[in-house]
Amino acid sequence: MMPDQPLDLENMKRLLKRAMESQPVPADLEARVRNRIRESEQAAAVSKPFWPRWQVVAFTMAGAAAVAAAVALFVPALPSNSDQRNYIARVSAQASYLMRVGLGDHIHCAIFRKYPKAAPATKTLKAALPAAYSGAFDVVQKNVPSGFRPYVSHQCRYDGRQFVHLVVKKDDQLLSVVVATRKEGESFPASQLVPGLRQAGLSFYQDRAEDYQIAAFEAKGHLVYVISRMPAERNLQVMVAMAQGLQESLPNL
Amino acid sequence: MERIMQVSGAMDNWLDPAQSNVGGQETLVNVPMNRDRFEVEAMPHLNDLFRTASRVLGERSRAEDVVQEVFLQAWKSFDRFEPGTNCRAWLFKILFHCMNHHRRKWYRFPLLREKEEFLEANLTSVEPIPEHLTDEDILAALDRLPGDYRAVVMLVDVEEFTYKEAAEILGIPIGTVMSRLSRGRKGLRDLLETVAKEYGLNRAPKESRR
Repeated sequence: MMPDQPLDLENMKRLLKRAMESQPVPADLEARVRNRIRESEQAAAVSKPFWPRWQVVAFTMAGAAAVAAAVALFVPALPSNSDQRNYIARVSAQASYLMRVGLGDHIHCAIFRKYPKAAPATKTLKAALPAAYSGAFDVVQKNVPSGFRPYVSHQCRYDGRQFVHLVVKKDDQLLSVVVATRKEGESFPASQLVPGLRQAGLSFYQDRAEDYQIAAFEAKGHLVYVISRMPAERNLQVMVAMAQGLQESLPNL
Repeated sequence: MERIMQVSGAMDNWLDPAQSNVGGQETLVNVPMNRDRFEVEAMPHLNDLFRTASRVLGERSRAEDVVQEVFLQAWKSFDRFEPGTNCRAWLFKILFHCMNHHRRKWYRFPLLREKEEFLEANLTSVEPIPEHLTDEDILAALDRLPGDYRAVVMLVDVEEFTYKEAAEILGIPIGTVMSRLSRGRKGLRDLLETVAKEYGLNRAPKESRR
């Protein structure tokens, strides 16, 4: 409710804008738009004018040779460990110190990884996590954008910090939920606070490095991150959608 | 969705930005299709387009379909769109064109006769009204405006397009934009005043000083 004021034109415009912006946008709409565009491109490629058969054969053979050469040159497909470290260092340098914790884990454990064709069973994924974080898995699974499925769940340790990491995936889109233990006195910088956004007593923080978007909050001795290459607003929406559930499900440290 | 796809071919000429003067652009040159540019210039407007479509169509699922169609059409034409011109206005023009295409099927803009009845019923009060109004109240009042007025109010007062841009987007003369805007604002204001009175919260400035 607002204080009494005459509804002059400027007030009415402001109220209108506020009301319009209060309408939620479907979480997966942007992804669906991209899918439509991708499907349209694929359909267009398929329906291109056909070539004479000898050209098809020649191009097929040339293509096969090129693929074979590429495989020979680039297997293994994942970069070497030193390349990975260099890449993580270079990208992480663009994020604030505490944001690097989640970002480094995302790149190391989600980007530089081969994925199975089909998503593993939920039971298998949950079994890979400490029992205390089983609830967090459920929260993530329930709140990921439409079409995303959990592909990876694991715990790892780096730089004296324990991580629980869930990776959800849809086609080539990856999104990580990283829960890291919070060291004493650690706090995200106030400059990265998302103004005016609070939910269940939580404040949210945002940062980016190259095209990685990072949203984060602090809870119960943990630092919680959502990292993806989705637009910043969308990435933040995912974080906010699961924040309260995560906070409630995380064990007290 | 299939229905939308069926008519998309008929929109090709209209969608050619070289034929559009939205945003005051007079001459456009061919530029290579650029996915990154589309991401930067077009995608950020998705939420605004969806919210506008949702209010105009009155149904979120239809708005979702239309917005997907708008971006697909924009993407197909984007190689001819000149960087730095008003991409947002261009997208809104596509949006309203898409919605008009489906008007006969499920557009809920009332007919002109209803507009006149609406004016007779509503354009009477000039009293200022308080702001004891929720977002839901305001959206409900907006929904009660005749569609033509609602569209102009949303484009000018919410999306902050100029009269000229709104006229281009809707394909109507500027004078019509101005008159619809004036009536739409007044109608909206009166509807909101009625809502406030129903709440028993209406206190005009003179009363509030007592």
